[in-house]
Amino acid sequence: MAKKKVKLARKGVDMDMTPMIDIVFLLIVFFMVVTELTVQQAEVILPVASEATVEEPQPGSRILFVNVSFNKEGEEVIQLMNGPAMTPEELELALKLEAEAYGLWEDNPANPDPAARLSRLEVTIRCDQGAESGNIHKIFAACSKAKIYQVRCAAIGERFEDPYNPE
Amino acid sequence: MAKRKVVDPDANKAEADMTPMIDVVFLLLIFFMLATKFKMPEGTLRSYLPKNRGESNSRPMLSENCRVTLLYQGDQVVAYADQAQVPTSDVLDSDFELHTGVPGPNLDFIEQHILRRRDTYVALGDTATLPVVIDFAEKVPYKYVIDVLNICSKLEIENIAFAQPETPMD
Repeated sequence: MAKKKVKLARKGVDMDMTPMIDIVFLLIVFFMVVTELTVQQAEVILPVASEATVEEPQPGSRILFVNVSFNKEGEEVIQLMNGPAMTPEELELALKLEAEAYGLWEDNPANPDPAARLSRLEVTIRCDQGAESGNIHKIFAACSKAKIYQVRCAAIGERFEDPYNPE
Repeated sequence: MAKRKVVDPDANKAEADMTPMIDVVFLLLIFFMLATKFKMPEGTLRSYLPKNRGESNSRPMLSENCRVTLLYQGDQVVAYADQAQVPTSDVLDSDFELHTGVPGPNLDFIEQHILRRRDTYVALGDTATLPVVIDFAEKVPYKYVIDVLNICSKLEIENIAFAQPETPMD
């Protein structure tokens, strides 16, 4: 005997919402992650340099950012990462501490390889384009004294908007 | 014989109404889409400091280098490429100059000068490429130093030195 077909008493088309919700949640999570709701540090307006390249950091290296920006009073401020404002002498001390903590200090006897004795710490100087360039003399000197010899100057490849008059 | 009861599998299922959730989710999505501002990736110009000590200026070879001097006189950057004074640019050609309203030195002039020097450079001793010394006064905006570095980078000059700042003659 042929089995009676079960007929669902449904009217209209029922859409399956699950894939849509999956995608929408994915988008939400993506935008939440990339949104910068708070700017924690002073904005640095980097100079434009067409030759600036975006490089992946070398394995085993650590990059420290030295920011030179203007505070609310319009004074130039040197910061290591997001830290407090510091003088060049304090910066030198902080860089030395970082270099020692990183374990690749030049005189570290634990490094038998002479090449590895040089610090693989890198410093990237993020300096506001309007700041006095005398700052980089001081930062270079501080890096040199901390025996960090890989220094980069951050710049932006191109800029499409006027950073001084944001919309 | 009793007829077998057909059980609708959906009959006892609790079904949540998705509409309010989707409303909220779309609202959040639109908020984050509008609030997002993508940042341009930052690039860097690489440089290596001397591993031991800075070189002494007394080396005779340094007379062969190309010296770009940036001075700051009365809120304006005055540049010299070797002995030649770099003319001031006729246009405000960057957001910084538009902001300050002061034109900077003509960067093409500097580029042409370094290019000429590079192409006529005769390798001396251990320096295979033209050494370029960037000599800038302390007050010069950082942008111009990066501009000169950028030109050197464009012209594939590897031997770049920063001089200690020099005070203007007067």
